[in-house]
Amino acid sequence: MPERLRGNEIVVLGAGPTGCAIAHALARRKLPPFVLEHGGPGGEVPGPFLAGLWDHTERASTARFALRGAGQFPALQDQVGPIGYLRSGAMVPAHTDTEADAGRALADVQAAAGLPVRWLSREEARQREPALAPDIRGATYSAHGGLVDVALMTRRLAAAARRAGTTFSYHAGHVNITRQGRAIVISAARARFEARRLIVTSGAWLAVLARQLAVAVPTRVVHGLVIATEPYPSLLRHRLASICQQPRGDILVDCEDVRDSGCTTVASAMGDATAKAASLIPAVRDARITRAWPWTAVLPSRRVPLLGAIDDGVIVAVSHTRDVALTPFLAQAAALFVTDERLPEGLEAWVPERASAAPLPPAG
Amino acid sequence: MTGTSAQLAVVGAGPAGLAAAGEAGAAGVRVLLIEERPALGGRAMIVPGARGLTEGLMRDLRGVEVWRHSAVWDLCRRTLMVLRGDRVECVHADAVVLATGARETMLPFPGWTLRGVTTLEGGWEAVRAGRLGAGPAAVTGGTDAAMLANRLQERGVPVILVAPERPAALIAAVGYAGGTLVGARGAEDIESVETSRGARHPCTMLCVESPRCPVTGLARRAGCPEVYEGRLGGFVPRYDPLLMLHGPAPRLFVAGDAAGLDAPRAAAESGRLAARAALAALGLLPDAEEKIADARRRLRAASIPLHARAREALMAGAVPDEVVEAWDGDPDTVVCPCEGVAIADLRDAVDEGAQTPDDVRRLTGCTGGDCAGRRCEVALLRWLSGARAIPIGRLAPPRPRAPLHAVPLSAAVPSPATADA
Repeated sequence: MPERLRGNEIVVLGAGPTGCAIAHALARRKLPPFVLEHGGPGGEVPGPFLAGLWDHTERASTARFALRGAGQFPALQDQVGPIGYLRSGAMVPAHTDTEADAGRALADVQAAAGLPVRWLSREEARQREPALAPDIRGATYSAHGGLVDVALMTRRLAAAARRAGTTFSYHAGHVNITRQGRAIVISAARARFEARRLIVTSGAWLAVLARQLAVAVPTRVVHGLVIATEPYPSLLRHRLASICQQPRGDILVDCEDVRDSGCTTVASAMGDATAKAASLIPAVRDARITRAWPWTAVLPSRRVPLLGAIDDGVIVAVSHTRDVALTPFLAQAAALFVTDERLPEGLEAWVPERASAAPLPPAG
Repeated sequence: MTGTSAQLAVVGAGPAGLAAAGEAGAAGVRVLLIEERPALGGRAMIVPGARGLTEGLMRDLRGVEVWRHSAVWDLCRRTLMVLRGDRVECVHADAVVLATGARETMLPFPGWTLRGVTTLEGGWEAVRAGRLGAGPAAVTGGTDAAMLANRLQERGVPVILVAPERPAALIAAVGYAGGTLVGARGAEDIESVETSRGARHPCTMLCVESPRCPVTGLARRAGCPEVYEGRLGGFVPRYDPLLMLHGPAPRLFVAGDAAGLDAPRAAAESGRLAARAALAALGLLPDAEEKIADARRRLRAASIPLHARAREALMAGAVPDEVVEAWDGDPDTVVCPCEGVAIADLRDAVDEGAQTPDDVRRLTGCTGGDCAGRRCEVALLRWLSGARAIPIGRLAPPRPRAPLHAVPLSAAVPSPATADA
């Protein structure tokens, strides 16, 4: 029988989408936790705009759970208020015959796994999305792909959690973690907690605490840039790979593996993004780029989320992707694990390797 | 994207940039002067007061290559990304002088985003371009506002000046309304102004005297730290006695109002000092010590004493701790017109735990819009300082994002990695 917990015995590290969703899920179970965040509200979310939701090219074993999560967004919106959720449908167009072959194969694999993904011929794709260039070779398509404002979603989740008694502490500064008996002692610049559960919700915290937690999960740092044009007349109905149009008209291109570390890097990223956008959607060739939001994400190196305990009372719940489709599902699974010490079925591959090295050091 | 190189690149062709370019050009150095506007001279050619000085400097650009209508949209180390016409050019310079001037920045009040509401600079620009409607104009502010009101009246526009007291400089033909401005009304275009005495005056243009703030986006993009000094107009990049910037890149200099507001003649002298310091850093200035000492003396002599003292204190490492008076205002007043962020939204963000300008931007988008924060950054910093009751200088300005100017998609064609790698 799991022990009875109180909310103030739970500390969540990270106030990004996952951290806030977990805080919200716990608060709904009458266990409002403390949330510590290294940065400000929203964590590493770059800014308020619509970003892609449910990547249908993800491996079927995780895409299936992400689809379940994506299905929860309407209900989530009812619970916490508008979060910009839009089930626009998503296409990943193919430019070359090789890409088309890969796209067809992917659609087959996903469909065989029961996922709502299919291959559209050039004509079918252009019928759904007339702005597409006439020379594309077709596209993989799912009606379940969509858009969501990640910053707004994070904000709403935090606000709902706060209303239910959750306490947030931002700009936490250096955090030190030790153990005192069964208690996990979390010392930050302005706060000290003795917790019975510690939930690590972001790759950044995982990387920072790797040594203190003696955790064996490698992480990688990904830099990127979201490039925005000025508002454009209504043009796109769907999300096209990493390109989408915002409700007020600006077209956003999300570029991965670009670092905002110098002007030529930004310039060539802008050039690449532009070339990509213009080759896909000829009508945007004359638009102007007005903004670029740099982002950094620390993600686990493996291709599935992490969910499970790595030490007595220390739980890891970290997504392996920036796609927040999985977030509601991951949050509920994490809350279940906190209260009942069990996981939903089928998540064996998500459980992190337990620390092989020494457990948490004693306080001293 | 094409590449160009120069020994010295000067950004901005106001008095400081013109003097810097002229000084270096005369020394036989390959100088590239880059100006955003179609014409040289900057603000000095629009707002009266320094036209003679500036025209003199414009005649003295021997050996200087001049790019007009060219906006620098990013700077990293000493590589400038320039939108020249409809092409993107990449300029690699051995030394860079930033002379980007200062910008008159309106602080939000009810109705400030209506069409027809502008700053005094905006009013002078309309006078210069002959873009004056027939309708009555309202002007508010002190002596500088009175000068603009006089000129508008001379151009046949009926004008009313709103000010607590009638300035002595105001000509008799200009109407006068006592009190202060409390708001502008209209649907999309301004239709009337309201004063604190409850009077309403119809108008089709409103020019509001507003604080001038150094333009520091490029220095900030290059990673140079900033410090707040109210007497110099707000946040200015940190620099040493030779106007060289602190930061990751050596041989980056700042001159003129971008380094802190001062008299136009002082701007020109600081341009000369920056050019000489740059040449000395490149080993291209014979008798460097003497010439630099001479430029520093001339800068000191041309400066407004209060500003010179503030500048010298900064160079000596002083960090002023100014608290900006709490400013809140109507919750519905829009602060960031690009993203539609009102004071109530800022308050929500702070209530949710936002502490820094970056936090506020992440939550609300404020300063992250199409104008790259030009219209709202000063207002956000002042509001946040007041709302959190902390000195404005302790707030880090929002991290700048490229592009600082809109770049056409067609100009940003892919390119092989260049020297910056």
